[in-house]
Amino acid sequence: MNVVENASSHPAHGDGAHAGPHVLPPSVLLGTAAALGVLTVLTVAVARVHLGAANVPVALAIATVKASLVALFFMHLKYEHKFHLVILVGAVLFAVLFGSFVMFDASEYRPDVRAHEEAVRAKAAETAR
Amino acid sequence: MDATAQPAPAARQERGRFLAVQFEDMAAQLATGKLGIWLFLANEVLFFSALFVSYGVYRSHHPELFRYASQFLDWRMGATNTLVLISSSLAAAWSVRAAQLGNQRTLIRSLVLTVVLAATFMVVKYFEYSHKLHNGVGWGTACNPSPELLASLPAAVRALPVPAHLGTFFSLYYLMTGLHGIHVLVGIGLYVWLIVRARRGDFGPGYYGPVDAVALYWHLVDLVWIFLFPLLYLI
Repeated sequence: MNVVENASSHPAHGDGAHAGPHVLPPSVLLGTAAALGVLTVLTVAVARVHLGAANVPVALAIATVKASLVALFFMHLKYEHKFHLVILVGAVLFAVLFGSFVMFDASEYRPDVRAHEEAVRAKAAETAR
Repeated sequence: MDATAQPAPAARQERGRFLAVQFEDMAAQLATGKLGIWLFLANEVLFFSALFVSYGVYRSHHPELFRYASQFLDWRMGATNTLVLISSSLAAAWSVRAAQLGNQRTLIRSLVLTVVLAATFMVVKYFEYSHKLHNGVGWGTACNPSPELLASLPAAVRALPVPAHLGTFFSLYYLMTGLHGIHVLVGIGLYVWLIVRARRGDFGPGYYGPVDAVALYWHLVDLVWIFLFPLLYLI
């Protein structure tokens, strides 16, 4: 089977089958690792600066960039069958959906929990008296 | 079963030593294995998401507790371990490259380096855990920091009263880093297995699926730590 024919007719199916594996060059591997190191230093540096409520989103944004670098290069997702990317992104989206609903729910019932905690505290104070 | 569907005896002999009976060729086996590993990794993402979500709920309700409790964690230890895991991931990615190119010496060396760095991570973690446990910082109700530890905190933090539910933070801390640590231990086991097989000469351009699969798992363990580090150490 020749590679040209294979690449033109079934790029997805023939992935790696006849064209050989996709080998990452040392420059890409070292570059990714270096970028991850720099971003780690940046995370620590940013945490020292007081940004108020923005600290968590900034830390998560840097972590997401680092995670994307690992996934795209170290995990070969940039060069792979796109279905693998769909699986990972799908799992992450489900995790985000899960987290969002739990947070909505927890905030919704927070006043009730606070009221209950107050009642317990008041009762304890009364017994102590 | 139709006899014509079976490969001829000669063709069967040509099948590689590591080609499982259900696959037509090595490429099909590799592609199927990869799909399986990615589905497993999706499962891992969802598994860890439960811990991150409970972290989010507790932190949104008790931000002051998290700010206080993170003073007990040494960010230098966390940052060191982040760099150790990134280097370990680099070594793992390098081992895949070496297997694909059939470079035996580089393959074995990069696999060994991956394990050594993974073990370094666990040693640092051991020092962190033992330092906390020796100073009374356990999980749940077993969290009563010793006076010496409290005295070592920054003055601004020392002035604050010890929060009532300090142990809640440390329950999350031990659960999240502990489950991550178990993943690292499993990774060490898998890499030892790969080293044994690589020394036997099992891997090469025609068969590197296991090296690739374990490396994918190892990168995911790195990914989880990339999020754990700022969320626990840098509050």
